[in-house]
Amino acid sequence: MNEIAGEILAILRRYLSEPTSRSLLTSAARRANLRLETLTRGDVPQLVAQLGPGLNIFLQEPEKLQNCKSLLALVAVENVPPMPVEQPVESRPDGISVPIRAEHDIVRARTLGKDMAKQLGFSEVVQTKVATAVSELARNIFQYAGTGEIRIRRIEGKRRGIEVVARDQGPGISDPALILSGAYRSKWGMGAGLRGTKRLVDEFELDTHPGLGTTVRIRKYSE
Amino acid sequence: MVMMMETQRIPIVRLSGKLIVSIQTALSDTVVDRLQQDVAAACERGDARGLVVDVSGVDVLDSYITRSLRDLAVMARLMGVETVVCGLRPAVAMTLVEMGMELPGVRTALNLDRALALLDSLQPEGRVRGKAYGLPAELAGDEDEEGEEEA
Repeated sequence: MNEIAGEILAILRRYLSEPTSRSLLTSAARRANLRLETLTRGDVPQLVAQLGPGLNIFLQEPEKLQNCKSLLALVAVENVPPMPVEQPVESRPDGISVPIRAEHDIVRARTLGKDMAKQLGFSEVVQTKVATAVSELARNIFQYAGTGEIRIRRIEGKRRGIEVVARDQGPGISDPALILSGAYRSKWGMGAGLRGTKRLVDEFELDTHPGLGTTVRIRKYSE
Repeated sequence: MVMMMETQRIPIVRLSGKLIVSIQTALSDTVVDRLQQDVAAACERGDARGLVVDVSGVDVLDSYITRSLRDLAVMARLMGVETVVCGLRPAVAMTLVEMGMELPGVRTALNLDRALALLDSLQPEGRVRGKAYGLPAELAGDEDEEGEEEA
């Protein structure tokens, strides 16, 4: 497939798995009588029209469906800056992994966290707490390390819940105990974010060394 | 969430002499900067008698956004404009409390109506100012008591 088809695939992969995206794209191309190796921007509207029915089935949430269609429509427009190559959200059997590379990944991670909390049957308030905790951790990664990863997974077993692991290879925190104690009282910033997060969750683990990065592990149970 | 192609701009609506900003999407650094600039410019015109920041569309308020809202309010106050934040969702308010986060120095109201009423009660000088500048009484008065909006 060529670059333009690649752009479309990249958009689909933001919302769907790799196999589903590829399969939707190839069957849409076939129905539209288009070849993905020679796709032009002029062909895109036709292709998107054929993608429509498939998307309606696979993307149940109206907001996501709308967003996806808007992005696809933009591919047809000339001189639009190419979509930044985005690391796909990795689906694992027990959870998801969101790379944090750009600011919008913070929102992505917390939306996914909120969704998973919702699926687990958490109340609106607890969903918000989970999303807020993820937001704090993701923002710390973005602001202090530049890149990192947020992993969100369900906890099964006698206590059901959600676990979030925020990992980066950033500068690390030299005195985590001091930061967490709140003695060093900056009201905003990384310390405040961590202290706030700690108060929202049931379990909180901070593993950090200067020069070796930081890992924060949190858990929220459904009681 | 969709990443916009250009910097999204949050519109500032003028209603009854007050500025209203309604936050419907996730705030990023660039959008916040833009908003601060736009609010500063609007305040600079000198005819804003209050700023309402409606966060009813916000489902997650983390420490960064909270600080940004507070900074916005502080900046507006430096320019003589009081801010009221309204529409905080219960789940969000509870989360802020649990995190130990507050919006110190920023007034809040339940909804837009009450935010506007609160600003009205804080700004009786609207009339006084009018008189001081020599405007006849009819022009110095605001909208009528029912709060009908004027252009």
